[in-house]
Order: sequence, then C-alpha cells, then structure tokens
Amino acid sequence: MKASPESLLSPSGLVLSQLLSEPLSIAVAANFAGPLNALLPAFEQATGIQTRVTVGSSGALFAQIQHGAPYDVFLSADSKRPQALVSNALIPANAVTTYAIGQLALVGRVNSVTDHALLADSVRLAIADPDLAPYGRAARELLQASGVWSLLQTRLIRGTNVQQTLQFWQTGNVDAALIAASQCVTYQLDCKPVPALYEPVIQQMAVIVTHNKARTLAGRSLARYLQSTAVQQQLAEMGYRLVADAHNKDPF
Amino acid sequence: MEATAIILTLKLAGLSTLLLMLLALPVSWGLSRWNSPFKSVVQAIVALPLVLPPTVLGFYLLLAFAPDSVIGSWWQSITGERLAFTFEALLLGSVIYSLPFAVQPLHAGFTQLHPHYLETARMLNLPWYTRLRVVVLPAIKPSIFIAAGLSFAHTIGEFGVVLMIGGNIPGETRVVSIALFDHVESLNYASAHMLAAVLLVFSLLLLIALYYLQGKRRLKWNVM
Repeated sequence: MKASPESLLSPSGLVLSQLLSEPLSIAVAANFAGPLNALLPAFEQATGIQTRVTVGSSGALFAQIQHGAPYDVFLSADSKRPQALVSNALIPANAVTTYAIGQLALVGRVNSVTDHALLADSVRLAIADPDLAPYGRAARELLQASGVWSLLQTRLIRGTNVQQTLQFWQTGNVDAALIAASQCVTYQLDCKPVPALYEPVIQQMAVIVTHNKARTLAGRSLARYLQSTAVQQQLAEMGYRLVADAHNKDPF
Repeated sequence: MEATAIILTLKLAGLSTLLLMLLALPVSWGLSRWNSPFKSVVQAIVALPLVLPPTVLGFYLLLAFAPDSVIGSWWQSITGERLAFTFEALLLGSVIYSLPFAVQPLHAGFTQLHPHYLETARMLNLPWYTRLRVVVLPAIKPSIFIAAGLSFAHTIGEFGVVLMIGGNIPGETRVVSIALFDHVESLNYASAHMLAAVLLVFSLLLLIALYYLQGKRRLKWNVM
C-alpha cells in the first residue's frame, strides 16, 4: 500500500490540508516518538497537513482519550488500548490498524539474558513494567522462556515504560536493560539482539473518529502513510519488524 | 498486594517523619536564633521542594544515586550495595522532599517562643539539655505535632520523586501512589478507585486533626 496523491485528497477533491483549521493532533506512545518525528516531515510535505505531537505512556493517553482529549490519532504501544476504544464504542473497529511490530533488544554489560554475569546477586537488570508496558510483557515472556524469570524476578528494576527503562541504564543505575530495538537505533546504542521467545509487540493506532470528517480523513491518511511500503521499509531500519511479515505468521 | 504497598507507605512516611524531626529541630532552632544575610539563602534552599516540580528533585537524585557519582559510590563503599531503587534511596528522597513541611512550623514555633522562658531557665542554672526538655520542647509541642503531621501526610502524597527513583519494586519502593498509578495505567479502575479513596480519606482525616490542633494552639496562646 503506497500513499498515492489521490488517497490524500478528500472526496470532494479539495486538498485536505485546506479543510483543517488546526494541526492534526497525534498522541504517541513514548517508544515511537523518535521514529514518528523522523517520519512526519515527509508526511507533512506530501499532504500539506500540519501535525502536533503529544508524547506519553499508552495508558495515560488512553485515559485522556476516553475522557474526551482532543487527539485525532492515537499511536499506542500495544493493541490492547486501541481495541479497548473500539469495545467501549468510542470508535469503529475499522479505525484501528497495526502500524508497527516492536521487538526487544538488550543493552548493557551482558551478552544475553542467560549470561552468567546476570545471575550474580548484585547485578541489576531493568525491564519495563510487565503489567503496564507491552515491552515489559514481552520482556517477562522472554525471561520466562529463557528459564531465568524466577531467579531474577525479585531484583528486576521496573520502569513505567520502555523509555524510563532505558533511562535507568543511561544514568548508570542498572547494569543492563531489556528495551525496544527501535530505541537502540534512535539513541545509537550498542545493543545485542535477543531470541524471539515472546509474542511480538503489536503496536496499533486508532483514528479518533469525530463529526469532523476532514480530521478523520487526515488521520486515515496518516494511517495509510505509516503502512505504506516506503515507511515500513524505514521502520525496519529503525528496529521494527514489517507489519506484513507479522500478519502472515500471526492470524491476529 | 495493596496491603504491601500500604504498609510500605506507612513505613516510609513514619521513618521519614522521625528522621525529619531529628534533622529539622536543630535546623529550625538554629534558623530562629540566627541573624545573617545568608539566613534567607538557607531558608530559600529549605523551601525549594515547595515550589520545584518533584521531577527536578527526582532527576538530580537519579543522577546522584548512580554508582559513579559521589553519593552513589560512597554508599556502595559503605554498604556494598547500590543506592538507587532501594528503600533507603526513597527515604533520603522523602526527607529532602518533605523538609520544608517540617522546618517551617518548627521555625514558627521557635520564633514565637517567648525569650522570658529561656532567660528564666538560664537563671535557674539549668543545663542545656534540661532547658530543652522541660522548657523548650513542651512550649513548642503543638508545632512539633504539626510539623510531624504535615511531614507524614506530605510523604504519603509523594509521587513524582518515587516514580523517578523508585523502580517500582513491590515491598521495597512500590508505595501506594505508585500502585494507584499502575492501576490507572493498566485500566484497572476498580482497584484505582479503592486506593484513591483510602488515600483521600486518610489524608483528609490527618489534615482535620492537624487543623483542629492548630486551632486549639491559637486558643492556648491567647489564654496565655
């Protein structure tokens, strides 16, 4: 799917950007903020649509949207929250699409999650909170599948999201951290790959459909742009897996 | 899980209050007897946590607790463990965070303390610790209660600092405000409501008790 010039026009043939009185408001999960900033200039140039980005945790952004926050597009770090907007009847099911598949990476003084160095009592590993953050859920699955979860569980340091998890490592307060592979690219870190022993992190976006058709259309054109082959190739270089690949393997 | 967080929060607030009283009593006494242009500088530093976003404190503490920093490496050389993400780190953060709430009521109490009491006690040749025990402390008892109560309540309400330096470890750094945040973030609104209500009612009762005490104190001063 490539974003053709026609698809960026509204049905009446007017250029969408002229119908928008204010910039398209995008709420984005922290892990995708860096890539989004890199991708938006090309989108703005192609469509003439101005954007305004709010970065937050998926949970906080979700709560804001549920209570009427004026976002046009919600780029979540998971699929749970966009789907919850659908089941709460706030948006139609077709407003939700997958835009990226995240994967984990390891940063720090160890080579793998089963590295002997990690087993020492004083060595500390940070992950995102498994109950809050999708990358934390993936990290728990990886550690469980690697057979070290019960050993490490009590001394894991939990970040609120994957961004804070990285911050714990960058400030020197932990020895290693399981973070998003995309962060390794964004911050030019020397990361090690980890085996894919976890359910991939399916990042979905929701276009917040309102009575304002122009804003909805502009949101949908951003969704199409992010799913275009060109952008997906770029995302692959930024540490994400191709959405198409995951859909072939995963009936999700 | 909630019980662990509540007990931890009470422990943190209790120990912080105890440390704050030990620290704030001499500091406030010194401040109330000190006349120097630098006094306003010290007062401003003590009052900083009132106006700064907790994230500023949290950020500096996070940097200060790193093993390669002065505080972090000193702690590691003494205990053999790292400081960040421990209960001790939270305790240190809470003491700094709630310091103005302990110092300001005590400072006001010491300032209002009538010099006659002290002069009389001195004329009686009472040693300093007896003067402290039988004259000073009883006279400022209401201020001590208020300082301790406010420190306790403020530490229970601590969130931004803990979020940044805690690391969310159950039984170690996962206090009630963080547990509540987790519930909201994971869309678990029923548990969030419960914890929020507990915090609200507890804090309200504590403040009512403090204001009641303060009202009574004014009455007392007036009678005297």
